[in-house]
Amino acid sequence: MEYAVKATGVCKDYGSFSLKSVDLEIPKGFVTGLIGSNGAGKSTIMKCLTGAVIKDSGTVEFDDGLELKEIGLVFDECPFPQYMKCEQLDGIFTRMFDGWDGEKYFAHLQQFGIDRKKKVKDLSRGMSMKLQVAVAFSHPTKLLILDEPTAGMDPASRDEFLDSLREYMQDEEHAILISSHITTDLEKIADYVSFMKNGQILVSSGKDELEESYGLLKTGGECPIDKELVICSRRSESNTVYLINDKAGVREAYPELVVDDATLEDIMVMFARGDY
Amino acid sequence: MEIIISNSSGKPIYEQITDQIKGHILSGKLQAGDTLPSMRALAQDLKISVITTKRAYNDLEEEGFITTVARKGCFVSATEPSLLRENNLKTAEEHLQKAVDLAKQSGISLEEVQDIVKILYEGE
Amino acid sequence: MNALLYKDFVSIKFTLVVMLIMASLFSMWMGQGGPLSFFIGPAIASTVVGTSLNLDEKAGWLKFAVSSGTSRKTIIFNKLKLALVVTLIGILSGFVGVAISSIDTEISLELLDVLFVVIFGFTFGLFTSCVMIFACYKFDAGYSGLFAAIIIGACAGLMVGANDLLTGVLTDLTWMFPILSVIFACLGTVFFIAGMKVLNNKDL
Repeated sequence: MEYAVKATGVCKDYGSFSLKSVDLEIPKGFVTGLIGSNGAGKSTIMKCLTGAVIKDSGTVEFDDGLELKEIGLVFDECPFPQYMKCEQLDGIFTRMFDGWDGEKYFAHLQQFGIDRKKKVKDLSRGMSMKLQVAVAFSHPTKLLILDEPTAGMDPASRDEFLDSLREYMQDEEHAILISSHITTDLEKIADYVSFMKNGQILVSSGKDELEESYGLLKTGGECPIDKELVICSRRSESNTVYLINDKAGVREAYPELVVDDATLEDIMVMFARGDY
Repeated sequence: MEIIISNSSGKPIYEQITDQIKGHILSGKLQAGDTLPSMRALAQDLKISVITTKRAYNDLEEEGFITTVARKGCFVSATEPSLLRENNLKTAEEHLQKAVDLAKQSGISLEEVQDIVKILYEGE
Repeated sequence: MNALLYKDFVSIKFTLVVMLIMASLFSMWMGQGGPLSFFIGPAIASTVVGTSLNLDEKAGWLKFAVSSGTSRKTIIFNKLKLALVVTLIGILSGFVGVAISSIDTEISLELLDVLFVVIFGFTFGLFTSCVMIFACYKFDAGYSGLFAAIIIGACAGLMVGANDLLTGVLTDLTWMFPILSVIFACLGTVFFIAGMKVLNNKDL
């Protein structure tokens, strides 16, 4: 497997929060999703990859021939000059990126319904994300790093955006790293997912593999299976839910127990709120 | 090539794909030598992960239904019809084995099972 | 023109025009057609540089620029280039101020005096801009207005204090300016290098 970017043992200490030896691999030809609640460290590790945040230790390796200017970026807040009109940004980027395609940029603006005469600060949240996407798609890139790109987008726009990502991935030299807590988006687009919590990667796996092996065991009373198999649990008045990662095994061994499939959202919430 | 994926069928998606493609080949909708969409194109079209389509295609290739030619794509194999029949016979036998096991467990007699098979077979 | 300068000029062109007008008026009013007219403009150059740094910080531009392959060194050197241009515009406003003054007053300026003040204004403008660059990267660029007030206040205070101190001690003040130019040029370089160090270690 070839990797667009490989981060190994990345640490960053902010005092109240820190990244603890994060390993993150972005394979070429695939979409890697990063799931975690706000404050889990997703934005931080993404910025460590590009050098915007200076890591304390660890390595970040880029694929041979991948340069920073070939990375398309979408940040959680639009970083473009706020008082400039969207059409004026073309002037900046044509000087900043080799191969900037102004025509493509304006075509994307139109497609996304962004008024080119509007100032960046006057765009809604969803529109400003789409603006960043328009920019990212208007110069030749090999990697997209997207931080919560669909936040603020209505469902139809999200669908359109995911379609454009699929189109981007038709080239198997391309790669995408996308972080989101809208797990349904990742369910639709991700090939691999990594869960983050408190600056650590909890689990990294193929998305299908994860959905096939993780399950929710629902039962009242005491834990009916070997505690080793349980990752975490949540107790309520009427029952306890256990997150397990060998769904098939437990179902076969205990056919009488209720073992539900776990969606990415279920897994994320259990990781975030469960008791270990 | 028509493929319909159900998220509620309980069957893994890659299996749904392999089943449907096999079905197309057996029914003649897909002929030997026909091109299949690439793994990526199929993933894009069905809006699923490329790992899933890759797995489906790998399985189909292993079972001899399709062949991949580097840089050219995936094609339906020119397999003997008898090979396909044998494959399906095996699958039918597996399904029947399950029914027989359940029947034995529940005290259902052989005659009862045979009756059911007859009704089902002639009923359509 | 590179992307960063283009961005800065388009973003602050309104501020630049206002600065040019205000500096011209101030230079006319306070300079009275004397050599000090050429000093007022550069003195407020740092406010414009501060505005540009403020806008960058508010938008979060730096993390985008760095992530897209622009080096931090390029970024800070472009702010210096911006400071250069703004200072020159400041000096230009001095000429405008003198020109306006000359409408109703007789102006007699020694070429040497003007030259020395212009050079001093130039180094002073760059100096205040480098302090602003350092302060904005080290602390929060959102406070650029506060930094500008401090810088200008401190300089004004120093000028007045120095003026009081020196009149009576030195009769020929003209040679003071070249000496001051060198001092401020060195100080400016120190602040610039400090700013570069800060930026190289800053998380964006």
